[in-house]
Amino acid sequence: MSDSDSTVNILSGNTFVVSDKRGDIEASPASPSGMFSFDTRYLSTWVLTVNGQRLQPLSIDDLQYFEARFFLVPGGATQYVDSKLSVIRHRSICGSFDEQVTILNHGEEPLDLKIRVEASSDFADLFEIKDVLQKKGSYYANVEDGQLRLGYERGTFRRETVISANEPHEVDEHGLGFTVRIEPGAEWTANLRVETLALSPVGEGMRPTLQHPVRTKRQMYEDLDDWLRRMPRLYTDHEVLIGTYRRSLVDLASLRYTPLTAEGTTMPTAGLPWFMTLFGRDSILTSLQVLPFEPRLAATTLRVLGLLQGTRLDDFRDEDPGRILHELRYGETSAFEEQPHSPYYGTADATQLWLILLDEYERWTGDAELVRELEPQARAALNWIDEYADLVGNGYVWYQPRRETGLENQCWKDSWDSISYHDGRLAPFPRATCELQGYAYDAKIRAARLARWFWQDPALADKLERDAAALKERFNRDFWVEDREFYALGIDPDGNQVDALSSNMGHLLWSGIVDESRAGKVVEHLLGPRLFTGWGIRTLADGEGRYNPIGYHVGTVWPFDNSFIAWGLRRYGYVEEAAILAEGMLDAAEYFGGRLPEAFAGYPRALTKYPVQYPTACSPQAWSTGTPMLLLRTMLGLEPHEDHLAVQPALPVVIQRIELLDIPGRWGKTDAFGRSRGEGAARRPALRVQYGAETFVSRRQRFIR
Amino acid sequence: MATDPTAELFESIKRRGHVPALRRESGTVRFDLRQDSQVDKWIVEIRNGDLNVTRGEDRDGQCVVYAHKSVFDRIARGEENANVAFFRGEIHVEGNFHLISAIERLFPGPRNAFDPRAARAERTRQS
Repeated sequence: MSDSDSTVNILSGNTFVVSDKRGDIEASPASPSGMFSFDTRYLSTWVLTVNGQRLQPLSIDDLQYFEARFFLVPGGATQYVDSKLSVIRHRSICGSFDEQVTILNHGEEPLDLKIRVEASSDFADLFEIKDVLQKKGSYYANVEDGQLRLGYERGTFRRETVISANEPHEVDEHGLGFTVRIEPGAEWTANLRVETLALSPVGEGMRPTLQHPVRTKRQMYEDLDDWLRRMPRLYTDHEVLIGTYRRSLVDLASLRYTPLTAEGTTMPTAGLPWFMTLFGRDSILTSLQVLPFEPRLAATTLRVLGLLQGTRLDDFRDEDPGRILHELRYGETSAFEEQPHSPYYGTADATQLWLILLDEYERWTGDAELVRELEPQARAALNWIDEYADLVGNGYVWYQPRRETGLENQCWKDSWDSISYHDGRLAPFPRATCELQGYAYDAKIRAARLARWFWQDPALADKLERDAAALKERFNRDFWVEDREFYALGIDPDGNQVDALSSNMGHLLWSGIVDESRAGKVVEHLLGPRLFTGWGIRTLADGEGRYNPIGYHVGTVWPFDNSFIAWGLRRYGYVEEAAILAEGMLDAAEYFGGRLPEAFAGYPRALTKYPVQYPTACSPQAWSTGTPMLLLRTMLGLEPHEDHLAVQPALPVVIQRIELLDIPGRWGKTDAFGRSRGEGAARRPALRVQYGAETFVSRRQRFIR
Repeated sequence: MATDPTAELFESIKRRGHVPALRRESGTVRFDLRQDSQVDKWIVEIRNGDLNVTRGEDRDGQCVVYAHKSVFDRIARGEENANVAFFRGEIHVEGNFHLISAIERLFPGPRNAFDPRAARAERTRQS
């Protein structure tokens, strides 16, 4: 068997193709491939044969995120390759899925070939693809005018895949075939097109719904060129940083999505390909990370999430007035309320984060107009924090799903076992994790600024500042674990501390809710051996009951988590520690070809020597893609200050120089320069030198005078 | 008890007068609601957040919504979510999707939903 099991993705917005390395699709619960659009699989079989033979890959060009080319020859992978013909599949997604099949005759005899594409669709919802399906609707297949139309119908829910070709062909209910003769040295080409349709009955007929704007490949290329040209230029002696930055810019381009409600503008989704949809938390955090590079993503994120802000109480969707949504999905399970994503509002942080983004966005761009425009939504969000999120009545943000279909954990660590006590017991509901309170504090402080300067409401500003101060005092009393000197992961409804040592505490630094006198202790824990692996900070500390270095939220290292912690470290003046996190992440990025994964294992760096990737479904992941950008911000110490950009660089010892040019903002465009702080920076050590916890201590002593 | 829930829904939107959250929005949405062989037409007009509703006019809108009236009766009673009806194909939208999304936010939610404020008051009383 070749490595044809590995997948190749191409996509545009929420339309994407996941195939094997031959370009074929043979979906099964174990191999979730297919062509998807609007959260529905439109092709579950797409297999090309030549004279009944499958093909094997020689090479693949991932040309762009929306385009790929496969070079193939007939026969199995075990055979010696001596083919008289070769096959090129060149495919792209620009609204429809287009595939150009070219066959070249290298021999001295004419070739008589039967070329066939098998096609079928199970019309699975994205949420069903890992299960064996028992669909409630019915399938159909029609042949008309040389096209194959595959369909699925459940009541008024109707989805169709239409397959056509430009060259003479035969068509039946299972695919398309071409009978051709190719002369020696000649080639034959056919263009196949797969269109996806969602249909709704209007009057007596059916009309297409859920449509993307169709673009040409040329427009897609121009758009990508524009995107890359607009980005700040990076110059540095650290080659990995340059490669990582470039990779991130292209990946971020692919992660852009134009929601139906966004009037053509784009915002970041959560991950490619399975999370190419509107998310609250992921879209906001990614927008925050990349603000110094592309603030327009933040504007769209704020507008779209503001438009769809909760307005009513709805148990199934965990919707409250003022709450910012968690996730929107268009598939069959949403349509028939088997899943609540229409949209689903079960997130306890997106509302605060939305307010934080609104303020941070204005600080960078000076776009006061948007702050005024979104004042009603901002007020509703503030009201949600006080009125709807405080389930217990003690002034904190709590969460508890109202239905079984809801999310158990409505914080970023959203897996079932992420919120536990030191002894490993899971906390009862409702739950109040610490970072939710930090975000609420920051949201109030920031909203106070907006109220004072843009909404002309000094009374509200005063009230928000008083509330925030009271929250900080209360929080530092209730969440501080006295004997072990750190902030608890959360509190339970009886007021007990959920006393696991976790990375969540790092976000508290970013929010500013940490008492100055306690910051030192917090930093000591974060960069101590129980949390810091040498690459980054674990989600849960070694020694906690549920610690597992390969547990999704209970021991792995998340790059995005580390980027926000680095921001927090800078906020409290721990510039060397922030630089250490940046260095660890850049070292890890080198192993991942410049593309930081969603998470990697929490093994000590000295043990594994290289970062062990956690098997995740999505790559690139949006907030991992945004991580190098936020780390550039923290390394250069970029802060908007009135109408200019303040720069206070603190580079890792392995970087001598960073120049970031044309940083957009309220100042127009400006440049930032960072230089090393001493002779120690002159050498970039070989990567395999390990900075384990012990090394860290000595390095740290060098920094802290 | 209203005999025509859909009419009541549009009347309630009209009574809202001005919705601050919609003050950036301006445009016209026409609803073509079929019942038997009749099409009941409603126009919702937003001008910087000011709402006006008229019935029976055959005016163009930047957005036109097609559905059976029974679907809107269910929405009006809080028994149906307009988004899922749209995903299912029971509501068809042509034109500016942004506008209808803004108006959808004004439709009622399910009845008897849990209210965290009431639950908190109860909890606070007990303790």
